[in-house]
Amino acid sequence: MEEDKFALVEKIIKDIENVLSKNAELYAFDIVPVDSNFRNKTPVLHLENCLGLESWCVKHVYMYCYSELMDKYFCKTKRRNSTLGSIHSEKLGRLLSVTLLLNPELNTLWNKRRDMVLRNLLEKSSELKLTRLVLSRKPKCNEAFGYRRWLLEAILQDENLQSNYIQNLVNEEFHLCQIASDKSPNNYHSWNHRMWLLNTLKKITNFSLDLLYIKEYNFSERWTSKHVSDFSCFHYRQYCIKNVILHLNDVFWKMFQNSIEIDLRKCFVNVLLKALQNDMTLLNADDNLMEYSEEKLINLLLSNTRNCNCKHNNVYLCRKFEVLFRELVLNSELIQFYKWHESLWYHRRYIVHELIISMYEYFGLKKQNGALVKDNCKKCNSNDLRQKQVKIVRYDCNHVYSSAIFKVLISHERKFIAERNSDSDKFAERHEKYLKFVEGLNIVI
Amino acid sequence: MTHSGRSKFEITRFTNEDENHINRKLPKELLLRILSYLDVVSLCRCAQVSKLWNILALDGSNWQRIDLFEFQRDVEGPVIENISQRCGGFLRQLSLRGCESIGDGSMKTLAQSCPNIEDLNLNKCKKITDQTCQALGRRCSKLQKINLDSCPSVSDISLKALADGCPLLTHVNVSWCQSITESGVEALARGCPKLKSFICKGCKNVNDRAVISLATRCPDLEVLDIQGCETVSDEAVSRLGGALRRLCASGCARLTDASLAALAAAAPRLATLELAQCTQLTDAGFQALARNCRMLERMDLEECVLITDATLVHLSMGCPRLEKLTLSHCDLITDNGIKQLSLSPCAAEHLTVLGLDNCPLVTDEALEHLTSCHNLQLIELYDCQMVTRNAIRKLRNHLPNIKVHAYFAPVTPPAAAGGARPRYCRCCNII
Repeated sequence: MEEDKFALVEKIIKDIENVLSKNAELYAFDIVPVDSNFRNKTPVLHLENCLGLESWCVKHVYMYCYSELMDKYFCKTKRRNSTLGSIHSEKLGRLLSVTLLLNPELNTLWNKRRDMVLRNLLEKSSELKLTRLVLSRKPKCNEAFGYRRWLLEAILQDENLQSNYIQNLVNEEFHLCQIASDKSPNNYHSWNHRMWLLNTLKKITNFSLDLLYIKEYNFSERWTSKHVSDFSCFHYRQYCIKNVILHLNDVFWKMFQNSIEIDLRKCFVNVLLKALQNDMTLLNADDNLMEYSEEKLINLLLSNTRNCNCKHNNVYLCRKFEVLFRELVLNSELIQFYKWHESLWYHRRYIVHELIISMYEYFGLKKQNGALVKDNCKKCNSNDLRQKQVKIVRYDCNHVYSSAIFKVLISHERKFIAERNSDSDKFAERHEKYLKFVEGLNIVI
Repeated sequence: MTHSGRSKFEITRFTNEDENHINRKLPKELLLRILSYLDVVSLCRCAQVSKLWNILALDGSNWQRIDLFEFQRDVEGPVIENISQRCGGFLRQLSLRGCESIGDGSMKTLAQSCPNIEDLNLNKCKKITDQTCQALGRRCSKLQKINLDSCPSVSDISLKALADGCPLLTHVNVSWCQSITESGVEALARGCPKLKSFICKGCKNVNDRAVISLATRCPDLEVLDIQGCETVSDEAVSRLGGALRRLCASGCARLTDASLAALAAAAPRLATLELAQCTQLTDAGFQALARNCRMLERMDLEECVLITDATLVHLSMGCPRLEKLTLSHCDLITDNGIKQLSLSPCAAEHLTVLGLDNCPLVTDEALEHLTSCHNLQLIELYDCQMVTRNAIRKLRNHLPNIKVHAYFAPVTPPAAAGGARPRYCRCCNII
């Protein structure tokens, strides 16, 4: 009886391996709940590029594979490890893939596979396929993502890669992450993996990321507006915004503007006008903010008094404000539409924080231990600044607080909080408290 | 073939100083004789005992037959060069199965220093190329058996070199050497008339002409394995001669009943016949075969989809020695055929393995008939969906030692089996 059981399990493993090796298009694996088998039928189901295993045999298969692995391949005897030739390795690979399909949270086994890849006993591309199957069943499996990262790192190390090939690899990876994020909400691992991939690509010299940044910016916008409770994807959205903000040169800006449907300047101006309508002293009636140059707009919004005489990149700053204010408007819309979602409010905190920080930066200030202090100008680094640094700079604070853009931001937030409060959104109050006590704006609000 | 002058001198030097009892009592010749019974690992251990023993243990005469399969990962070029120098003319049999790091250089040294080698196994030595075989052909004229299974760089040049230099060859295995073609095989057949066994699994370029030349020039051919040589047709198979005992033509889909008829006429001693995936074969061919080949013991008929119960009737009548029969994926086989088989003379005594997996028409009734096959040890029933668990249990009752392979979950022993758990608590029991 015992031998028959082993034969059965061996046969099932062979069946699975058969499907794995024959069908390269396989994209999903799952366990099909079947309590007992009345018929003498294979438990390995293979249909339309999906692989299934009936649940009645899972216990037996897993027990067999696991104990076989642990007894024969993970014992400490020196000789065994050193004699792992290709004859043993095929069986080992088979056992590992089946065990990992059933239970991917075993780093020991993934490490064994790494070992085998290093010794050229396994193909990297087929390994990517295996992890894809694993992730189709357990989209939150960090071990599988980790193994994938390891594989990709090894693949990308080759400097002769065609950028076409990299592009395919990246698309495949993004697609996989999208599926994983779709399957399981708040999937930190998949968003993290996406971020890792972008960060890794940054190191590759012959591959331009600009298009990818824009694509990801737009993608994350679509995704966040559909998954308003998923902070993992909001985190990724913040990462995308940062990427865009860091690359605001003219060429990129043009591409970026073309790729999104909304006119960023119009959106920004709308916010400005709405907030400034009862304080029209700033504007000449016939001036059209839409046609202002970036330089001029910034001069208008942030009165041009600065500590050092270094030239500040106002064009860049203006574009940054446009991006962030657009995000703020978007966020407001989402909050109004999908009520009472905490993650939306957290995202708002990020936007406001970024805005305020960039204003501080413009005036040469930074926040340290909750208090504003003078920051060294990175460019001129003048000495007299350093001496003054000890004193709190009430004067400079006033500069910030009296600037038009700051007033716009504060009145916009105040209005929004009041509106949400009237809709009995308890997060509005918390947002106000955040602004007051964390951002330290209790004097102004 | 004695020790070289130097080692003789060394032996006398060490024996004079040696205080160990065993070395004084036993003459070197006896020690050498004892050592000659040891395996590789023990010999290497003995070689570390003393300087004298080192010389004795590593003497070539102890190293006539070496199998390094256990050490495949560790064996590298220098090991082979060392062995060939130590063993010299003593070496007769060497297996380097799976020693993937062996290259042409070390094999050339081997061929040079061990001209008397008779049996060489290079299965999965993926690095070796034609140069190895050329060296062997030049030096090792006594070679009888060579196994080049899964050495992808081996081509026709190797076979020609072997044919020229090793006329005594009886066993040749060139499976999965995909660049082998008819010209190489023809040269081999011409040069080695004593060939008994030729195995070339998966060599797609081996064709009719190759097989015909083997059939005509090697009258002693007993074993021929042309699995996966898709182009081989009836014309070649019908030339095969009377000595043939084992033929594997799995995957040669062009074969028809004409082959079977020819085999029936020409190869009465055929014992093993593998014809998996030969989808054109029908009952008529097997009828002819069963009439003449009464020695058949093993048959693999996987995916011969046209055969019906009639084939089983003929086989059961004509082949009383049948031990192993595989009928996987033969969709037309029914209970009736199995009944005929179980009534045959082979069933009661010889039949040990029966493969019926993926025969959709086989039902519980077939298993009932099979209870009369007393020798049956293994039956494969995967995916026979009409077979129930109950029938298998009944079969087991009749044949307690049988292994049944089916997709039924192993029965877990019922919870009560471990002794009914007492309802009262343990401590009360103790009191």
